Amino acid sequence: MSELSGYKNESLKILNNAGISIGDLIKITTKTTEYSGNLLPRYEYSEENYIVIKLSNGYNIGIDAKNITNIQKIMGGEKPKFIPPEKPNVKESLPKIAILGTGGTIASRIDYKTGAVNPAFSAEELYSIIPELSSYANINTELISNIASEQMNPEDWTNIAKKVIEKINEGNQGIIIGHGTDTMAYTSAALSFALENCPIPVIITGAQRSTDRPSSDASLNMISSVIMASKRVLNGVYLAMHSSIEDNEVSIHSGTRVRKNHTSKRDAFQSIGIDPIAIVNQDKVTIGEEYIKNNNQFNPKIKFEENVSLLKFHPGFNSEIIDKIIELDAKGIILEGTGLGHVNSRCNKSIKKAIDNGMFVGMTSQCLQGRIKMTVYSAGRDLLNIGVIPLEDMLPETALVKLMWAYGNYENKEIKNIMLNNIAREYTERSILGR
Amino acid sequence: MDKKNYELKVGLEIHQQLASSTKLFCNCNGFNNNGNEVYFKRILRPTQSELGKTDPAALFESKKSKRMNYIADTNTSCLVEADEEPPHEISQEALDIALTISYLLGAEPVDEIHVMRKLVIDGSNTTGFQRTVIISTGGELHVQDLTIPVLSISLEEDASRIINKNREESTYSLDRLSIPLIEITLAPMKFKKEETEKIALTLGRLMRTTGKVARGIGTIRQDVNISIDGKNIIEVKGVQQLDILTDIIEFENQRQSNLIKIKEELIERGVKEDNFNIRSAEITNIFNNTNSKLIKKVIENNGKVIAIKAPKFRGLIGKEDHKGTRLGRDISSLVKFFGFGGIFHSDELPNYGITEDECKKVTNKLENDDDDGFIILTGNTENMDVAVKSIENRLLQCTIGIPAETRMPTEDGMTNFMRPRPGSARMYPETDIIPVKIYEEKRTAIKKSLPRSYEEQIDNYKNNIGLNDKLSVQIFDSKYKTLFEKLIKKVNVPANYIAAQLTETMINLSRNKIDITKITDIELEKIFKEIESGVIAKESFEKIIEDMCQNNKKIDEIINEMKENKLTDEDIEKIILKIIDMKKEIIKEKGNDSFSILMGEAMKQLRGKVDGKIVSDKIQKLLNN
Repeated sequence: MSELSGYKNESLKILNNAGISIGDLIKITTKTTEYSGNLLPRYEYSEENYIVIKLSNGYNIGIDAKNITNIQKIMGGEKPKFIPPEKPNVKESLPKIAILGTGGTIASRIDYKTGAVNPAFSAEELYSIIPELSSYANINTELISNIASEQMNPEDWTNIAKKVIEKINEGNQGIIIGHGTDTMAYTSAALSFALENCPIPVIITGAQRSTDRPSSDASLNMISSVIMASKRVLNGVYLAMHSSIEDNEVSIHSGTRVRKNHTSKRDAFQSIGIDPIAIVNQDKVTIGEEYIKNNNQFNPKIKFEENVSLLKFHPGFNSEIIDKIIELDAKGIILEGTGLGHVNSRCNKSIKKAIDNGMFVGMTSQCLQGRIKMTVYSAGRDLLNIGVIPLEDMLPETALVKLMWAYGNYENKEIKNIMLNNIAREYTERSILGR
Repeated sequence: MDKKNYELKVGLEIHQQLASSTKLFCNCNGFNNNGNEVYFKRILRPTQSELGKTDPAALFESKKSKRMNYIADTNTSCLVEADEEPPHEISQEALDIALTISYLLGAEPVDEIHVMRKLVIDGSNTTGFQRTVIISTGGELHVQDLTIPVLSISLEEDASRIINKNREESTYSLDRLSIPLIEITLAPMKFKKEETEKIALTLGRLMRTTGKVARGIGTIRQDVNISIDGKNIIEVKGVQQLDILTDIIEFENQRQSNLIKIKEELIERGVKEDNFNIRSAEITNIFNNTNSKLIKKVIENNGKVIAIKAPKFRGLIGKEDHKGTRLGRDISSLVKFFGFGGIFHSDELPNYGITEDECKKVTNKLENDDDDGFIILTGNTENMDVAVKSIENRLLQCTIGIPAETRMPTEDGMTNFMRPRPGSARMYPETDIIPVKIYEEKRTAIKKSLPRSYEEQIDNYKNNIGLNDKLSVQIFDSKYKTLFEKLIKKVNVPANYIAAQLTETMINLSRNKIDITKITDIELEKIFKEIESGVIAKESFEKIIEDMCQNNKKIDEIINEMKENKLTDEDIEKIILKIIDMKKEIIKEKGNDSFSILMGEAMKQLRGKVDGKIVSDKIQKLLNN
């Protein structure tokens, strides 16, 4: 960060001329009034010619550089001091749990002077911010990347998976991954396939309300994830987030059957077509009927092929998009069709061309809830005849991730079998009544 | 004590709800409370600050995670109030009202406004902070000969309404949360205590000239900053009634004077900040066979008794020159903050079952001299250590002077410790909302349409509209001011009548415990329209409102019934002719003087159904025939 972060042009010139830097106490005289306060950084996206100061009563205001008749430094600013907390006494006998950070913040400290939010991620800091953790686990932490959730790519899934394997080998009994919520369900699906038959719980969690506010859901999600992992009752990849808008219960969702269904609510994540695998309420864990212990050999395969597409069909869909995807040498396409698995018949020619080129084309439904059945209407039967593969009740995003994973780790001729094989509970066997 | 150095300075902070059609950061209307109720529970956790040093009480406050129950009405609250959706842009309507009030006070709007978060983790805000934004600075309020500088004018979210509270959890209703409040901070001034009420009233009326501020209980609140040493400011939060302001200021004046006297006496006795002998000891053993019921119970519950030395404080803890101002009471309200019931102190003992012998033992344990005092704290909670530390701290502060605190008013005009005064450090930017510029065009437009002053508006009511003095002031001060001004333009009913119904009749109804808050402006407008058209008789106004509030009748229903039962001219004449026939003897006897008798008889039958004027016209007409 430069000494005058965010200031440009006119405002930068004014500040430079007066020898002022961020944090300094300054006095500004305008045509109509006078202000004094500490100079703050200017946000990068904002309009250029305003100077922002914090008044002595704590409020920030912006002053139009045009109106400034005089500006002068009164005194230099103080740098905030931070005294890191001490590590609490944690019982050695508690389970060893690794907490990995990928970006976003699980916990943070606020610099009230500038409003900057600094991630707090060492084990000491996490214990100090979420003291409850020390009663459940011996935690160790590692920040493995620092990318916003929407910036995450399949290669990042590979890196996370690698790190998880490393942590398993270090003897951790559970792994928690802090993740931005936007693509969290994609990552949970990716890890579910990449870490097939994972011997310990790997739980991805995050926050819908940022950690710089007292009402953040991050702490409860983190505590509940650690409690779940420390109980040593289940293995596999899961996603843990609030069950409701209340701060009492966290749902442990299957990594392949969970979806972000709301832009902002705490309970945005929901299991589709199945119940959550477990519920953590305070320190009480309830394992649901859906949980099946997996004792098969750990079989990690952590590569992903990016050149795969997810296409959402809609009225007016231009079939040339499919032709373009073929031209891009894509390996395969997941269609998000209507209803039981349909698209407009004018797409059929392009779809056939893709399949003839050796691409895998699978069908999922934009209904999200329910199963593909392409034999009911002629539109579906025609697609079946062309060679489109119905993917039962797999979620479209999960199908996409699975196809990336399949092409990343298997030969072309195996893809269809892999896609139809239920590897990480991406299919349900039965469509349960009353759900 | 050299009195000249100490001067009472009082600064008012007025918080006034704005009657804008939406809340400050979403499209809910906070005044329309009749949707479905939704309940949810939350926990607030303190956010971690970069700043290290803190007062033990502040640290304690910030360390407590708190459980909250919220009640939300689906009409007045949405996901934004539940902290389930980011805030929308700031309400332009509220911003315009704040700018209008700024210009009325001669304050200068800032070029770009930045919404801030002020940490408040008592649960009154679902987010754990209150959003607040400075709109303007400077300006002056003129109250008779007095000119009071305005420090700043801000817009902020109102807090939730507390329903109940105990040590473990609090329950709040969200209807009020995020209704825009304008906060006007006046500079602390030397002036007579009695003038405070006048200042508050003048400022209140200045805001009311806009016609866009809310009225009623809880819509205006005063915080008072009171200082007598010019350095340490005591903030008294949420004074709702103007009439106890004077008492509170006098109480604080006395309490703070007492603290200064204590400080000077301590200096006299040779106690200073740097030789202050802090000391405390567990004394549970001393009370193993005590007669004090309270201490006995604490020990039975495995609690502890701790004594804190008050070096050279003998006689100062219980000293009270003005009711309630003793130091002992202050320390007691401090420990209540940590969840304790109170304290015992040396100036009041032996008493309450504590014997002279026990006191002596405590004195020995603390190695007290004759002029030393002590405080006894009992309890069995984990907060014991921090409470003891706070008492020690509070005693130490006596050598320095008056500690800056936030205090709350009691009903009888005293104040109690509420929490340490939050510093400016509790404020950081609301990153969900981008700063808003206040462009020249907007400034010009607002300046052009400023409302007329209070005096001009009252003049207008009197001279142009024809209200008497009393009604003019009453309607100006009432929540129906804006409605009244609309009605006199729209409805052909005498202004005096409308004003009287909206003020006197409504006040009367609410004195009779009828909840008139349910009645909306739209409903009132309908009633006056039907009065104009003759469907509703003027005399029935009160009865209709009563019917609506008590029997939950809808206004349309009432109007329809009235229309169906409306008497035609013929019906009315029939009734009057019958009466004339019955009373013909009297008419013969008294002639025209019999009119009042006939009128009384007719109104007995027609009251509330037909306007009195119509009845009298008809009687005149029929009599003359």
